[in-house]
Amino acid sequence: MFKIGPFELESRLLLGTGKFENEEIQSGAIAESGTEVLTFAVRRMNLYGKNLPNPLANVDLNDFITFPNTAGAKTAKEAVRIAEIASHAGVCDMIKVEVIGDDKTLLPDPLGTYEACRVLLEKGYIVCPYTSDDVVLARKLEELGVHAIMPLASPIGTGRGINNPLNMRYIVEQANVPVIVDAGIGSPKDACHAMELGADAVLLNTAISAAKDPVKMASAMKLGIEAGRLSYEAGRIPVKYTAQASSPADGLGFL
Amino acid sequence: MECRINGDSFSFEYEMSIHEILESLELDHDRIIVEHNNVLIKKKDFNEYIVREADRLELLEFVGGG
Repeated sequence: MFKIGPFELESRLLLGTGKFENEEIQSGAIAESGTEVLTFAVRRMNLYGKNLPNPLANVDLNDFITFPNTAGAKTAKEAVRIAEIASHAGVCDMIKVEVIGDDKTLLPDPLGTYEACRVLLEKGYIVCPYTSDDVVLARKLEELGVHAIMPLASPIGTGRGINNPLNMRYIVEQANVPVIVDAGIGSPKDACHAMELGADAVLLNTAISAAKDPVKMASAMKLGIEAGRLSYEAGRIPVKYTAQASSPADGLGFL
Repeated sequence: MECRINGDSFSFEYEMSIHEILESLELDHDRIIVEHNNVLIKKKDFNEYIVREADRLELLEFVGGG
């Protein structure tokens, strides 16, 4: 169990709801992942294609801790506006603050993110910023009062895994709030890696929704995260340069 | 009456409530979040708010995202 603000969570997999092929696959993946937290976005309704499917329309958000993101925001003001819209609609238990600062890499704007967090904390939100893997920024956001830090493994949707495990480790070691590795996870190996580094949870979307079999991948990710967490708690052996025999060196006189 | 909905210009024969506009556009009330001239409107108030000439409506919804 771990806590984000007032929320006690058993599952360490937080799930995004984007890019699922259809509602059946999405529902299956959500169920299989065991997640208690769903992330989603706010957009204009398509007034001309009302019959286009919105897979999210079939998910009962009341069954989950709602975790809207501010994706699409390029300024702190826009992020705050999206949070206010989600809150108005009654589906904003926590807000994922995402202020993108670069269109090509989709890397977050640290200053805009910080400012949005400041305003939203003042307004009483449970605030979880999506950040780059910046150790100092993570500390400053924690000092500001955010409820979790969500450093990226690598840029959104790249599936490259943890680009800078050293920074991730530094962030985890200094943090007194949960660290949720967000973005860039490609496979259960990466999710396991994040958990072995001591992250409290992982937020996934594309790695599940764009997998060949998203429902099966949801299950694989769940297991990867559980394995990584167990490994972290168990304490892995140190990495050594020279071989260390597992079998006794004595008692070989019979050879 | 002409107003802007999601950035586009729409013409209606007379001033209508938000509820009536959503009906005329055949939009699902359950899913929708309405902002009228930058003010978020509660569902229960859709009947009371009248959309007038040059008003701006944003009709928003939640979609999949991560």
